[in-house]
Amino acid sequence: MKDIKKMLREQAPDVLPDESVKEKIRLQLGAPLPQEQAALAHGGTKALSSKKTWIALAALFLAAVLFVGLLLPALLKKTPASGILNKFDSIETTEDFYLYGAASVGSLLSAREKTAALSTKSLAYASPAADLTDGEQQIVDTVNGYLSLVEGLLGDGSIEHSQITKPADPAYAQYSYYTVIRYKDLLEEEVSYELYYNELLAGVEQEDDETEENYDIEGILVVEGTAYEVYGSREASAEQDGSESESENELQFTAYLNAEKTQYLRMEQKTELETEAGSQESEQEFEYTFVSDGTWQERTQVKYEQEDGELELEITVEKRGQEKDELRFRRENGQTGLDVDAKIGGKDVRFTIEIVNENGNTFYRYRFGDDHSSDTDRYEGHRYHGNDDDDD
Amino acid sequence: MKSAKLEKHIDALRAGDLRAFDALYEQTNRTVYFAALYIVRDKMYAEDILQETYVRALRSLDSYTPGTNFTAWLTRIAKNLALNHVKSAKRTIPTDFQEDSYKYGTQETHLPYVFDVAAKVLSEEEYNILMLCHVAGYKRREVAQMLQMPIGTVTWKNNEALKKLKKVLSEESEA
Repeated sequence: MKDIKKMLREQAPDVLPDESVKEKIRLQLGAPLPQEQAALAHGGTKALSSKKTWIALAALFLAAVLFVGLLLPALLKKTPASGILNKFDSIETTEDFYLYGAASVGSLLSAREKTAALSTKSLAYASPAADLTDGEQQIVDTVNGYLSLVEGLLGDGSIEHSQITKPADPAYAQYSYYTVIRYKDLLEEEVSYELYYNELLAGVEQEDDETEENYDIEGILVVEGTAYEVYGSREASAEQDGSESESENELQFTAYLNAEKTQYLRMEQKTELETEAGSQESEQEFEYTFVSDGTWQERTQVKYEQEDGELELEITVEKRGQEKDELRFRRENGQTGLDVDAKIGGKDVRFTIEIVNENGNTFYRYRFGDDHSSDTDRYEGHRYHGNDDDDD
Repeated sequence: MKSAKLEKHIDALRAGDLRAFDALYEQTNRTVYFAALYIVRDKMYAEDILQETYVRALRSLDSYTPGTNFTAWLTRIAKNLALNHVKSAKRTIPTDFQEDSYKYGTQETHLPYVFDVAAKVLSEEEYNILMLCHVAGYKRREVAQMLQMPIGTVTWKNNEALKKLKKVLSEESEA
């Protein structure tokens, strides 16, 4: 069952109708193009042009952060496979889901302000090895940017929150719940966001052997002193059919970037756990979409799967009007590094990434075919994890 | 809730506000597309039918009765167009070629194998539910709303469809 579902999902892009169909209909009907609508709504072409710049920057930023978001640092650690998965399996309750969504979206909003500072403060790299080709060096530079930014944003990946209470600030008296979500960045500085929210049980549906519960939240996420309206919905369902069971969780968390709610960042997370004939499979999917005036500008899909001791992380970054970048990170049981198959800028590339700890220095080592390699400082000037084994 | 929103978009379109088209298309296109795909079994033709369906439907919105099922109305148009396409294709393409068109190159854009098998072994309802749940990524609750059937029926038919497909594919891999 799982294989068929997976097969259908994987081949969906080859089957679903092309976006161009909508544009053709629009043309035939004489409907305004999205750009025209935006110009109309926001005061002409100048507004549109500055918005485009902003969108491009946001898209670039999203590509970098969400590329490996919460997952690659976990994969790169020398943790046993099951240990890594437990990090995500620990997100069990509705509360966990929303806090995770808030943290994830909050980290993106926060990092938008912090990216420049991080890149100048701490992300200096050693000179690359001389024996790489220009193309390989370009790939190393690209992936390095992702890795350093991810570590800078999420540190060891743990996200904590304070006890949920009633808001003390009278400005947020209309909300029933308040919590502070925290994590440490690369400089070991604590980053925190405040979340004020109301939670509503949207409904419980019980039919035969299926129970489905729906919860929504609405509130305010305060990031770097800026308040963003947020909305989240979660749907959980569980099914039992003899010895087979399936559970599914779907979370949607949206932060609105303007008062008109025409620009927003949306995280969608789907978790599936299936037990069949004594074996268990789990799959995590994250999708981050940046939308402006009803049109998506960038979609980043992250799939995380564990099966038979093999971990696989698949990332697809799709920018409107541009070719998709696809990256597949794979690690088999006991393997410390990652095998990477990627299509970046339309080119197929294959390499491995290892974390090497020599003489107290930790760095990434990239290996391409023909023994080409590059050592890149993982960290300079600040202790991150020290020995990776300590993390677990 | 969802159909109320849809009706609002239809009202806006009737009033000449073509900006409502995007939202309306997003909410309905998958159902319409899979209904056509089940019949024509070819992505390119199904896309052409999808396009033609919306153009025809939105140009004759007055013939839609407000408050009835807009998606079902669109789907009926798409199915009629798809059936007409198959009829005219039968007149021009020999039957054997059509049956195994991927072998003879008479199919324009052939589908991945599992989709071909699904269209052959599943009923129209099972096919639509499977596609909407696992290809279009809708939740079963949403599919139940779209197809106007109880969620339990969607779940049951979805499971049946998966079992049928699994059986056929396993038999073929063993053969």
